[in-house]
Amino acid sequence: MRRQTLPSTWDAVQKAGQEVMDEVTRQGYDDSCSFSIRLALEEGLINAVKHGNKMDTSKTVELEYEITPEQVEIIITDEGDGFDCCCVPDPTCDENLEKPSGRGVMLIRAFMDVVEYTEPGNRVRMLKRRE
Amino acid sequence: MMNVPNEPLGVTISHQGDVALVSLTGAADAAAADVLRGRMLDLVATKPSMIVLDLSGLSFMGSAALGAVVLAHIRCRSSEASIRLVSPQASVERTLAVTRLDKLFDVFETVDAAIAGRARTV
Repeated sequence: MRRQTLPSTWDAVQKAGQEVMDEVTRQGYDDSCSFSIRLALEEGLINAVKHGNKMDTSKTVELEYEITPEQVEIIITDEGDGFDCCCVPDPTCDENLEKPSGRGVMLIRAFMDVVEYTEPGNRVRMLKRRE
Repeated sequence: MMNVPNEPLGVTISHQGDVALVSLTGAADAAAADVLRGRMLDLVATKPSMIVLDLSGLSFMGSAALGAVVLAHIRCRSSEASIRLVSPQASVERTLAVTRLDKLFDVFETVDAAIAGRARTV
């Protein structure tokens, strides 16, 4: 598993995310799978930088990933206090549909095959199998 | 960020009468969401009767970009305008479906159908 420790800046995580997606492309994943991985990766990194580390540049984000012909595994860990993933408001409820934010966690769940949060909720493991 | 393919977001705005046509191309990722939000809110401020958002050239759309469109939708209320979506690619369409934003926005097959208000049949 490859591991990178990144500063909590969008530029840094964006560059690291691009490296992951370049490898996904090299491994020949189709557009649908690539879209799902890109979406989950972006949402996970945004959550780590913005909500986990609260844009504190003294804190880091750890990105681990393993890409094989069969599956893509990504683990993102931030230095925040974590959160209870079961208490995130459902953005698909009628009362939340018009809220501009709050869709990241549900998108990760919808587009990846396995999503696991480790207590206290500052570490997410995501898995996508080749379709 | 990243691939699928990795083209920067393009935002092209034109007008048909008081209808604003916004054509999006490339990837509406988190890095591009601020640009999209700014362009959409600037457009809303001009009070078009309708904003037609052509998604046919959009390869990627993350939650930040979705939020930008939702925010524009909210701001449209004061002028009683609406935002209509046109021809999202399959993955973007799935994103709209799983977030149920396809219930918030009417989705059409073509720009002409959106302007005429004919609901999508597929």
